[in-house]
Amino acid sequence: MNSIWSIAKRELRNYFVSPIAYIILTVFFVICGLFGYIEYMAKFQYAQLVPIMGLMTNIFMFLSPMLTMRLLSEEKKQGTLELLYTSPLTITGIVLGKYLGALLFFGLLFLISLEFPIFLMLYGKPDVPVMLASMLGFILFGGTLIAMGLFSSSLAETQIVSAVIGFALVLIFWVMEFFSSAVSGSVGNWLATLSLSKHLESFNKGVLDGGDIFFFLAMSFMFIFLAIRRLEWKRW
Amino acid sequence: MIKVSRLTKYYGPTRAVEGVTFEAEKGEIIGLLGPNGAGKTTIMRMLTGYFAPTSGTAKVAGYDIIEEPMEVKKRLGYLPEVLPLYYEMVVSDYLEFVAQIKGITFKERRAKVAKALGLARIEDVKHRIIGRLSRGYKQRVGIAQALLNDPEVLILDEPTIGLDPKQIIEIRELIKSLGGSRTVLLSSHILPEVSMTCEKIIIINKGRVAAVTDKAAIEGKDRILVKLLGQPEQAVAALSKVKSVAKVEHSVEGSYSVLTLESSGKKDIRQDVFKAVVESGLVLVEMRQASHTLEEVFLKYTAKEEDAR
Repeated sequence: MNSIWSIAKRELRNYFVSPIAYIILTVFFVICGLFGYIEYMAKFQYAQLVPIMGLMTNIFMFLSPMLTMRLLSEEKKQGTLELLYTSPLTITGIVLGKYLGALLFFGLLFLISLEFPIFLMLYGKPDVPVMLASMLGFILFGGTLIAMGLFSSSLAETQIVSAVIGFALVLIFWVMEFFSSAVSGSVGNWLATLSLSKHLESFNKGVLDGGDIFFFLAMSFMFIFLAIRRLEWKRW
Repeated sequence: MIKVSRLTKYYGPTRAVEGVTFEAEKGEIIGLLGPNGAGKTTIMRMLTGYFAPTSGTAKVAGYDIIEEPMEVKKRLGYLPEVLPLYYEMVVSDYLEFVAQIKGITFKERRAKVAKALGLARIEDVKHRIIGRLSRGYKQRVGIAQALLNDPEVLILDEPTIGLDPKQIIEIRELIKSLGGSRTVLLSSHILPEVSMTCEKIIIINKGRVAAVTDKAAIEGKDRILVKLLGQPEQAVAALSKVKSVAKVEHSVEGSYSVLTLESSGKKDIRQDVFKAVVESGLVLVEMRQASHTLEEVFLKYTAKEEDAR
């Protein structure tokens, strides 16, 4: 347990040693801020968090592979995985530590993004339950993308390759709904249930659907599990 | 301390290591000697729990590597061939991190990091970023990392590769100083490297143990090179008579004759050789113990293996 925390802490610190943390945070908040300004001040002038949440999910979709690409790829390439494997750690512990590290960075990003709801509260009267629901949706969505990226990182030895795989994976699950409309019958319906965007809809309407919450948690769990299996399989 | 029995590893259909068996006592410094690709790293990776053997097993520090890998890992220090360093980290932070994942308690951590820094003699660079250190210092950081948990067994894969001669001597001294209380297993493809640090040498060839031998046999205490002024025939005749000389080979180098003598016994024959040279009226210009080259050692042992079959 302690070692999971040690790995997570090192990972979080690592983000700020390299320029990646600053790039992600800058890009994210410059775009969201600009859009927020246009959306609220210039265009509609209504107090709703949903439009900006929608934008945040879209931007984070593009940035998440950058956040996760180095998690396991870098360890493999630098040979430090050999250190982790020969230390008294389990593979599950290593992978969970990595996940937690990236999740902590995402948590930081989320904390900064609280400026948007705070300003809405200060200058307008937003619908608080809808706001909270959409924020929960964003958190669950972020956790799922990080799990997907972590799995991609377990597949590749270079950061670029793992970023590309990660982005492809996220994109496939994002546009799954579009695929599903092209396929008729039960296969189509089944594909639709795997769509990330579809499961986000209810949150943005202020509805907390148990099925949708379960979907994101299950997806995260599945990709973390796959990453663990992948490393175990590689090892024997 | 280390007890390896019939360790075998296949990568798919490719045989990397087959039926390797050897033992190491507490406090011994053992060398795995073999050409590149002989399976040294594979053996070490199995012992350290990096991957599992296809068959066979081993006991390290009293624990089975398959049944109780965690217990083994707690008692082990390992320096892989590719240094497992996070280049963007500061030396002391890195060691602190390794101490954490090795399960060293918060209370002990500071003292252990300080001790490892001292043993590897890297206190003066502890605040520097690893990536900016010289190769020699990086190697020392790697060794410090392996020493952090006060391991009973230390496994070092090619510890002196890529270092300059001065650094090699320093690392060699360091390794020697680590023996005694710890069991050290190191690998190298360079013969003098192993013969200078290890008492016991295990020669690995094509994934098998070709021979288990000792320092003396490899250093060639039993082999003497003599350089004389005079005709080779006369010299051979004179020196063949010396007691316990088993084999004489000769060659000519300008006006000198060069003879290589092999003794059959353990006794140092140099005194007798000197006397024989003087008695025969020849002039001795050089005499030394001739070390074997890696090729010779291999030929010697692999030939024996072939004969045995």
